[in-house]
Amino acid sequence: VRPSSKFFTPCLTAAHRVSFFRCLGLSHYAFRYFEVSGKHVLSASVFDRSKIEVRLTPSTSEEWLKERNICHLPVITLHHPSGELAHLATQSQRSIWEEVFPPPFSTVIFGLGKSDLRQVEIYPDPAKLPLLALAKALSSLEERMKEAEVGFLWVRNGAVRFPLLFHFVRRKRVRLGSSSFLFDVGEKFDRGEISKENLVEIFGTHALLVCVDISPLRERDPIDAVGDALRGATFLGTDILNPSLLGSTSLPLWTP
Amino acid sequence: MNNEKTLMAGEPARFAYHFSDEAPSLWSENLAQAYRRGVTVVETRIAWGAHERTRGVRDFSKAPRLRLERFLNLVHETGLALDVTLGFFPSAETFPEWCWELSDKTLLAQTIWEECPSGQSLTSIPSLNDATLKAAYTQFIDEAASLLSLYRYPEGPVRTVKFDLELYENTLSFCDTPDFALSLTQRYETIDQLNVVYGTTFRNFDSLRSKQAIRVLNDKRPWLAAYDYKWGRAEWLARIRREWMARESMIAFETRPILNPLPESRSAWDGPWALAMDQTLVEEHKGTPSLFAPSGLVIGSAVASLRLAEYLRARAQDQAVGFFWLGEKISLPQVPWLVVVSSKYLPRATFLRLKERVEAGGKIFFPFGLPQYDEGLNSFDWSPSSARKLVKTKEQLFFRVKETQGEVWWPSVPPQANDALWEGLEQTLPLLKREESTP
Repeated sequence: VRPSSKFFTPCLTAAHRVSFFRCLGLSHYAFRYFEVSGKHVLSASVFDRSKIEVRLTPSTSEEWLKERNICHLPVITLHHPSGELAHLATQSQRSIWEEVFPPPFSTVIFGLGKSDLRQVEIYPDPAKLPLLALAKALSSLEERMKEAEVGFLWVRNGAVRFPLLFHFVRRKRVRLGSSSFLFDVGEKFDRGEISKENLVEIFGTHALLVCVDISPLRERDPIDAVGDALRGATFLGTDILNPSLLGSTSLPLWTP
Repeated sequence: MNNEKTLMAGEPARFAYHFSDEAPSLWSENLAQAYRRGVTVVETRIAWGAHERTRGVRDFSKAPRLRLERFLNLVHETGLALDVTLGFFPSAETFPEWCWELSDKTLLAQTIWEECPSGQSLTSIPSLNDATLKAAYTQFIDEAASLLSLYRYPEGPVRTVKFDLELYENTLSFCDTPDFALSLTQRYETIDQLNVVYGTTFRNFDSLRSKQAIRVLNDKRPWLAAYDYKWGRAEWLARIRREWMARESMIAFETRPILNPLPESRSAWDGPWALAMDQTLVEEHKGTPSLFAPSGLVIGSAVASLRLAEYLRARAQDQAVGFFWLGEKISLPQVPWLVVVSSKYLPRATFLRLKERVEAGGKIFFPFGLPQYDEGLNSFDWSPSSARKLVKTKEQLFFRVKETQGEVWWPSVPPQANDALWEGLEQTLPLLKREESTP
C-alpha cells in the first residue's frame, strides 16, 4: 500500500523508542543513573544489558556522592534545582534525537545543550567522550537527512531491523515515526530492489535512505559501535558530497 | 500505532483509532480490517487542538483528516460501534496553538504528558482556571457534541461520549488556585481547626496560597497535606465536570447495549500473595507513579514513597507478584495474603475496604506497621474483643489480630527501606503462613 498522505507515519510511540534503542544495541550500554534535588535522591537505577534495576539506596545526596565515587560503571546524574523539580516548557523545541531515544538516555545525551534548569553530570570524565562522539555522529546524520524532504533510517543489527522516517520541510522537522510499511521498504532495500528512482516513487518526494548496519560491530562497546556504524552508513538518494562531514558537526554537550 | 498493535495482537473487541492521527485514505481499510478481526467497538478521541488551528475557527469538514462526519459514516458502514472521548488527554493536539500563549499555566509531571517514564521533571500545560480557555473549549464541545448527536446509536455508530479531564487529575498547581483555600475551608471550617490538626499558626485560609505555606503543611503533616490536596483537587475537577456535563447532555449519555457485550475484564490476581500500596503520597497515572510535588516542591516523605513504589513495582514485576494501588475505584486482588504498604495513615474508605476483606477471611500483612485511618488520628482497633497477640518466630516478633474470619499481621520492628527489602518480605511471608494455623 502506498501511503497517500504526507502524514503517512503514525507518531513514534514509547515502544518504538525502546525498540529502536535496542536495535542499535545501545541497551547494552551499562551505567548508573540518578536524579538528585538538593539533599534528596529522587531516583536511582542501574541500566545493564537491557535490564533496569530500580534501587532504594542511596537515599541522600551524601550517600550518592560516596557511591558515585566508588562505582565501577559510568554514573550519570540529573541534578534538579535544590528543593524543587526542574520545570521544562512543554512547547520547547526538542531535538530529533531527544524524541527518538527513550529516557533517560535521550535527556542525558541529546538534551544537554539547552538552557535548562537541570544539569547533567557524567562521571568519571573519560565516560563522556564516547557519548560525545555518538551525539556528534547523530547530529551529522540529522544534518544530512535534512537535505531531503524525507529521511528514511534503516537500522540492521543481526536479525533485528528497525525503520524510522523523518519528514522535513525546508530543513525543519515536521514529523517522525515508524510503521510496518517501512519494514517492507527496508527489506526491499536489503534485497537490492530499491533504486534512487523508485525511492522517490515510494515516498512521493525527494527522499534519502540511510542504512546503518550494526551487525559487524556487535562485539564492540555499544556506544562506539553505533558511532562507527553511523559514520560508515550507506546512503541512497543523494550522493554524499563530503562523507567526512559525519562526525564533524559540533553538538553542544553540557559539561559540568 | 496503537491500532497496529491491537490489530496484530489477536482478536481484540476494542480498537483505539484516533482518526485525526491517521491517513484519511486508510480509514476505511483500517476499520474494515479491524472488523474482520473481530473488533466490535472503536474508541476515538476528538482533539481540540487539531480542529481549532485558528482561534475561534473550528474545522470538522475541510481538512481531510478532520472530517468527523465522514469518519462517523465509515464506522457506521463498517458495522462498528464508536466510543468517543472529548476532553484533555496527553497529546500534542489536545490544545490549540494559541492556548500555549495563555499566561495561566498548571504544573504536571512530564512523564504524564509524554506517556512514558521520563524522570521527575515537570512541565506545564494551559490551566483549566483560565476563563478564556474555558469559554473557547465550551464553544468547541458545543459544536462537536451537536455533530455527534446526529450519529447516536442506533441511527449512527456513537455509543458513548465520555468527557475526560485526565490531564488535570494529576495537576501539581492546585494549591496555587483559590479553589485550594476553598477546599480547606470545606474540610476544616475554621482556620483554628486546621491549625490544631497541623500544629500551625496560619491567620486565614488565603495565607495558605504560597509555596512557603505549602512547604510548612507538608513538613508538619505530609500524609495529611497530600490527602487534603488530592481531596480538594478531586472536588474541584468534579465541579468542572458537572458544569460541562450539565451543559452538554450529549456527554456521557447512556446508550443501549452494544452489538456484542464485552467479556468481564480479568482483574483478579491468582498468585499466593500480592502487594497493595497507598497512593496518597505519590501521584499515580495509569498505574505509573510520579513524584507528588505540589507547586514543584520536593518533599522528603513523597520522595521516600515514590522510591518505595518504584522499587516494589519493579521487583513485583520481576518476580511475577501482583502490584496494586489502593484506591476507591480499584478492586482488591483475591489472594490468600495481601501485603499492604502504607505510611502511618490510610484514607478511611481504603481502611474500611481492607477491614471488609479481613472480616471476609482475608489475611493482611502490614510490613511497615499497622496504619491508622483517616485524618482523625485515632488508632483503629481491628477487633476490640480480641487482644493483639505477640507471635515469636525464630527471626522476628510479630503482632497478630484475628478478626471474624481473617487475620492482620505486622512486625514489631518495621524493616529498613533498603535494597534487601524485597528479600526480607519474601522470607517473612512463609513464616506467617506457618504461624497462621496456630491458635
